[in-house]
Amino acid sequence: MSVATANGIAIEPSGPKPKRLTAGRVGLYAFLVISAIFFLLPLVVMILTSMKSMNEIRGGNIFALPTQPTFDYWVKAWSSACTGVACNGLAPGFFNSMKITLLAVPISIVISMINGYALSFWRFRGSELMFTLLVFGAFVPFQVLVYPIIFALSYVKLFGTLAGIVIVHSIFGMPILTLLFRNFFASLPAELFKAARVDGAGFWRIFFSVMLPMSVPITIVAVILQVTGIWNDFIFGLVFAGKDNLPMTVQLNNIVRTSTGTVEYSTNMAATILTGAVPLIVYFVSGKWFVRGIAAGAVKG
Amino acid sequence: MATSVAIKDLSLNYGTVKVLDRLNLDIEDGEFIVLLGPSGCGKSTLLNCIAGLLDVSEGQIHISGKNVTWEEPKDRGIGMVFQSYALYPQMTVEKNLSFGLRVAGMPKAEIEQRVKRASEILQIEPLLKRKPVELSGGQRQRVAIGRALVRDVDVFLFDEPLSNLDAKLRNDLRVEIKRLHQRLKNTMIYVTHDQIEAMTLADRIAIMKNGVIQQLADPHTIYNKPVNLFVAGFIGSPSMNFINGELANGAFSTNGTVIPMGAYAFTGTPSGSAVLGIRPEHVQVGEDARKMPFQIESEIEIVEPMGAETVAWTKLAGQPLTLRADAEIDLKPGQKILIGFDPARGSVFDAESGNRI
Repeated sequence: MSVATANGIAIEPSGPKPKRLTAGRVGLYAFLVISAIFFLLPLVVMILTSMKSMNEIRGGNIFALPTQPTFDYWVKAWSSACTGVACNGLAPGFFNSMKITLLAVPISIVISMINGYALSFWRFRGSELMFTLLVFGAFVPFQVLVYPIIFALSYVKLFGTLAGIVIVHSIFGMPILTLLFRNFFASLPAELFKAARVDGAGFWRIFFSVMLPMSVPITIVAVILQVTGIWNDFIFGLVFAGKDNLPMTVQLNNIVRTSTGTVEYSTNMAATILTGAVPLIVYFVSGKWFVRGIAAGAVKG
Repeated sequence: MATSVAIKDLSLNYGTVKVLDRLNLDIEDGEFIVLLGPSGCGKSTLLNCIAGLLDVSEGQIHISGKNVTWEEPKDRGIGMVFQSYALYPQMTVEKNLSFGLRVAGMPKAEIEQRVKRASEILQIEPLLKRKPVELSGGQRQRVAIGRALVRDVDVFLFDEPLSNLDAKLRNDLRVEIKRLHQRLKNTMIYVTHDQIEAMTLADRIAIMKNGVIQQLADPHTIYNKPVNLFVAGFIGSPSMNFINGELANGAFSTNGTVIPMGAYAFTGTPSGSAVLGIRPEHVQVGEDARKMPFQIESEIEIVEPMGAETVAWTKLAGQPLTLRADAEIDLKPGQKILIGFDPARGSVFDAESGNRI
């Protein structure tokens, strides 16, 4: 038995071990706090800058608080900033991104879910090969495929249309989502599937009655992955969406990279924050699920 | 009696691995058959083949006189109970029970009636509105049995149904399954690696090894007249003592000790290398040993008190021997004691083939 001595009196260890603040702990917390500040600073600067007038910005101190805070630049970024020739702000881009996301997310998830279900429970000759090919697709740099896809979409007269960009997003989401769903379904007990078969249920009945109700958590993860992925996409939107359907990211680029007139930093900052707001909100609302999904997709496989 | 399930020359291969090898099995109507064997012996595979969950490589499966080799599981007239219960987690107990009937498109009134009957038999009526997560292990397994029960099938298949339960619950449910069988009189095929379950439940036990049935017989025969060394060693705990020696002129000799085989029913007049198998509980000590045809002095090495009995380790002609003695007999390590047994109650195996002789 070890007996600690304090003030010369022996104390018999009993109950919970007293917690002591060690140097290591202090260092750890200091590191965490500094890291948090480091990563939050750019956002703080962006928000501060977006509320300053150009005169103030020229003053040079990026950390200074705005003397006359204003949201004018936010309004301008949203509704009247010039994206090339047109001066309608980001709003049209926002609604385009919404359209693309709301169509592509459900389509890619439904297809991937059925893929994953079939690949894990209804094994057929070559199903492993099929799965390997599909996952391989996740590792092909998509830039390589841009040119062939332009050809293919032009051939079916879908290049530069909303349908075209939705199809592209759905296809490119499939490898990683199929992997996600297959691994999820593979983690379910095979006996559940056998029991349903003995009960007489077929492919679709098992899918809808047994598997779908159990897939809510993993579906939330897939929604998060797809929403952030599609919303943040730039190159597909630029190439495939056509000038009527340009997503918000492309519009933002046009505002920020304008080569005429002065560079209006306040508007740029406001526009950038607006564009990043959707994925940010998704992260904040569902961070727990997101981490879980990454782990589920990465560890098992 | 009519044949309920007939398996004819059934083989199942995964590539070059033979999981089941030309297996034949006839099961009578209302019989309780237990498939027993170590893991990897193919017993669960056989059950899955009967259920139609695995495609066979060769051979046929007949259920109730119909060749069902190519039939879907639902058309075979079977119900199956799984080790992990495999209850649909998002459905209530009631929905779990009725799922198969709803899939089959049965009228609501009849579904209700069947669920009611099954839940009465299994005493799960108060649980009908609950989800599986709200049930204990024993209750879950009851629901799983109920799911087979409502479908009114000819044959029940059990795939290690009690292996996930704790010891006490396992005993309770074992008795309940036996009671259920006596009440329903369905054919039941039950897979387990637990020999107690096999001995207590079965009308006949099929002991399997490497995809082949080693012995198919009633529990008493399996226990007392095992056909080979594998069956003899697999059944019984503590396991049977094996003594290596020579057989000549109806006597077994090992390291100079001669054991006259007396009334042992040999098949023919074998001689040569042999193994004598003696069950630990057939070895008597002290006064009881004096009544035995064969007696020998030996020294106790290790004593394991089990409560109801005492298992002691000793040596016979230099080879280890365990014996089960009454717990009241005081045995101590180092003690010299007289042991005795009746060789006619033992089993003799050919040393080379391992078969009973």
